[in-house]
Amino acid sequence: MVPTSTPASNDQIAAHNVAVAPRILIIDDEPQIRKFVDISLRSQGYTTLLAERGVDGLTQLATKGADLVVLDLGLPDMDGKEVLRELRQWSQAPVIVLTVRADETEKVALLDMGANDYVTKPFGIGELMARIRALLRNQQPCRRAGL
Amino acid sequence: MSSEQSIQANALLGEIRRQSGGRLTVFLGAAPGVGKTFAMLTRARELLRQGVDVVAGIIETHGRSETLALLDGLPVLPRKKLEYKGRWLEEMDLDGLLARRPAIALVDELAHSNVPGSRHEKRWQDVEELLDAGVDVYTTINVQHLESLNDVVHQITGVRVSETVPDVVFSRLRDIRLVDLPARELIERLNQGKVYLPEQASQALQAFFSPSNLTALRELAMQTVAGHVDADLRETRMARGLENISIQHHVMIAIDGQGHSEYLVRAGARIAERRAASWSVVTVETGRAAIATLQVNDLERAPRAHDPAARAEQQRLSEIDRAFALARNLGGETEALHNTDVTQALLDAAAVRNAKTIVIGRTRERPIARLFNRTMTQQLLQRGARYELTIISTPQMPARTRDWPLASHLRLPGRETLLILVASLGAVGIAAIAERYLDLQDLSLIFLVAVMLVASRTRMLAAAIAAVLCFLAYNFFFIEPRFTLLISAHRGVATVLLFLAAALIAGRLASQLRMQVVALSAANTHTTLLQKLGHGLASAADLGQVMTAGTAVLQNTLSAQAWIRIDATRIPADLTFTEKDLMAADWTLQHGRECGRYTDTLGNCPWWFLPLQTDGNSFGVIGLKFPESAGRPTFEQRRLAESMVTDIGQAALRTRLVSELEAARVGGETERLKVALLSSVSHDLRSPLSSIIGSADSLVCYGKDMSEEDRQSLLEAIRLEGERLDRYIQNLLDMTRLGHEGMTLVRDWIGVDELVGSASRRLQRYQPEVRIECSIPEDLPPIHVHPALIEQALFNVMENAARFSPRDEPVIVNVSGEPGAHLQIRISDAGPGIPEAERSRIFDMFYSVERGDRGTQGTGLGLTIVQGIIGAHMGSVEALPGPDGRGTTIRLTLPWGHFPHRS
Repeated sequence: MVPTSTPASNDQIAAHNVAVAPRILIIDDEPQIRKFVDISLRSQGYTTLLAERGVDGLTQLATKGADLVVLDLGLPDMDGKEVLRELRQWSQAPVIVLTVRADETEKVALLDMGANDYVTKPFGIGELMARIRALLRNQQPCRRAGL
Repeated sequence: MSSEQSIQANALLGEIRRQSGGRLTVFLGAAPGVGKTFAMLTRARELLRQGVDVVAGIIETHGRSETLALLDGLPVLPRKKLEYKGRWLEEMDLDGLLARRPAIALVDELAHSNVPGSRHEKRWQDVEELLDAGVDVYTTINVQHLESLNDVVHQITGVRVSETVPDVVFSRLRDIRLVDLPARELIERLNQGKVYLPEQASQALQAFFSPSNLTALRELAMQTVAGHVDADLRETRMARGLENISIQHHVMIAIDGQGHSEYLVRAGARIAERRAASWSVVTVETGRAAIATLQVNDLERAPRAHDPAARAEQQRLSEIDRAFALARNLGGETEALHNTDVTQALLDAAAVRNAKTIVIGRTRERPIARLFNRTMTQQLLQRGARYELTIISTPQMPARTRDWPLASHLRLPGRETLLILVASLGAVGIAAIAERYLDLQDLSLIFLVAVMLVASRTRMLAAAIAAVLCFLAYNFFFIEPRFTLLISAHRGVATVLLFLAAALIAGRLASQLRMQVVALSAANTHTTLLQKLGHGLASAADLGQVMTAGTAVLQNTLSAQAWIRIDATRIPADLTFTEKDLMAADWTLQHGRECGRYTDTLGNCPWWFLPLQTDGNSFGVIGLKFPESAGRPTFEQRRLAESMVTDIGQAALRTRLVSELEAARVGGETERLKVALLSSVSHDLRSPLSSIIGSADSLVCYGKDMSEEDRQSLLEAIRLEGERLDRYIQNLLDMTRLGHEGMTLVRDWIGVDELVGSASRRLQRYQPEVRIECSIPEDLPPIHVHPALIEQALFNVMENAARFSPRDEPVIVNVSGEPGAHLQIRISDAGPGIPEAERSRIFDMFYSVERGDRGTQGTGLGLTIVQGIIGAHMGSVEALPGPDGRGTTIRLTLPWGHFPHRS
């Protein structure tokens, strides 16, 4: 269970309940971005899965499961939107999209395609964390519920 | 004539095609928002009221309420819904319309592109099908969507319209209606929000809707409609076998240089202007001018002021020149016709020009000619009944023109007098010898030959004098009673009179023939020389070449020294001028008039300066210096020089315009580049910045929760990304250098292995995990390149390859090349590869921009820079499928440069 009573300022989400630490899948081809998101998430008690490519990400999500997906739109092998479309056919895990474009049509298209939220690059880690927390707060853990 | 018949057949065919099947009515406008749809619907409602079966196939109201209101009561066909990429889009229901088969279908926006998956790609194809099915179609289109005008519109607006309609659609045209709105009103409508612009294009359209653009487009639309109506009329008339009548007016002004030519040109130009007609000025050279010039030639060495005939002729020619120059300045065409029959020449010229009006001055002709209907005016009226003849009476008829033909014509140059005397005396001598063998009548033939000899070498007057002289000599020496002018026998009188008549007629014919020959040969030389100049100029690609070719031809044909100055360019550059000469040249440039030698201004200058002009503005000067020994140039030579100067001016102007257009195009390209660069830069800079900000932010927010190792790793990431940023900025600087200043290459001989090695080492410093496999032949000679730039290019390609290669696959660098040929470097990755269609585009700066998020890591400018660098070295870059069809190979081809001598 994700502790819903966690105060907003609390940085130690998983401290109460290490056993069910939410697992977050990061799909991004930029090693440095992957790295700092990974480190930050881990420092706050989340567990992480890392994928550099879309196919790899989808495979990990399907085999290992995740409570939330952070998806970069610019991937070398397939378009982030394709990943999103593919993913939505069998998974309800919340998805936060990382994008460099911030025009409205793009945002609308992304949300319509099944993204739950988006963060525009460059972003502060605080914002990403807050959005992750917000999404997880409203979400039943779906990792065990068979995706 | 068969060609005429075939034209008629073609016209008929067009007519038939228009009559069978449906017909097209086009509402043409200059821009969106002028009210085409509105006009079409208004017309449709009218037809509906008259009981015509009108159905609206598709109407784009763009949310305009006035248009929407007009649709009320009109039968409207429901639109067809098509799914495309998950969205429902609406299109005209072509099948529904075909099934419904109305008499008239309204199809808005002819240039529209249908949703992919429709039967036809374009709406005009739907319309063609409707027409084929016998349905009349009313449609709307903006002038910029016409295929044939695409280039013109692009030039006017700078916007390349991609949705175009081929002009062949208009072969089914029944009617074309111009929907017109002045530019100012349209912009007002736009500002009031009455014109709705689709949001995706509003930015571009704002620029498009500038008053100058709109005015130009409006004019284009009007021309198009006028052109169609004119062509239509012509075709209909021709199909019925009627002679083509000229609707587009043309006024032809005929001048003769007898004291009022310029007045006639002005008057004629005004007439043409009032009728909005094109106009031209012609003069007819009968050969008399050329003869006068020949005489001037003869007289060149003698004081010429004593020859009024030649002087008057020169005055006449210079008046014609002035009138021609005036006409060209006023926007008319000019042509000198060569023909001995003035009337016929004018009628031919009028027919060629499709002229409707011929303007002439009042001719001064002998009463005798008037009596026998032989004046030019009368002949023109008789033979050219279909022309409107405007005779302008001139304010003053200078008296001088009246008296010179009589006084000066009677004055015989020495050469002619000599010829007449020699011919006559010769005839007497020969006749004296021949008298023993021949009849009296036959002797007259000898005198006839003498007259014809004179006639064929001189002009009519001399021939007549010779005829009279021979007549007297014949009578005096050979007819009984001899040595008197009396004639005893009746037969003798008849012989003598017949001889006189024959001599006069033969003399006239011979002199006419000679005049024709002289006129033709003069015209021919003139034309040949101008043609030669034209050839020289046509092959000149830039201003310098035009100037060089111009001076060369001027020098050759006129055997004079020639000099051209346009702006700061002078050819030949090494000519030195005195200060006075340069002043004269500047005067010509400033005033746009000739000066220097042979003119009224600064006549003591050894150079003759002529202006290069366009629309009355001079932009350059041509100087001509005839050698002192050659004396004055003949009048024909001067006219030739002036014509040549005009031609050179035109050619110079052409190349100038071309280079200006090119500069404008390059300017536009640079602008496009700038925009793309900006978006690409923001894109490329954002990636490392995201990492840096993110990593730093992570450290600030959660640093205390992290392990020492993680903190270290983030700091390392910040440093690495900072370096990456630095590389992008370096690339950017290279790019600006490539794009703007032009890269100056500092070439040096360097080993290929050294270049590849340096680039791989640099790459591995940033990405230690990357494996690079090089194969470089041992014995490659060094290459002559700018080492730092080529190293950068190799680095960019290798970095790109490393990015797309799976981690465990190496980047393969393969070098090959024959000394003396080209060096080839192939850099292959085992990545996902590039679709064939996109391969050539990956070097395009816009490619990475368009790909947006996909290129997050900043393919960005890297490959564009590679292309710039390799291009600067005269090499080439290509993207090919990788080895075994996997991944991508980038192939760099470089010339070795000048091969060094190696022992």
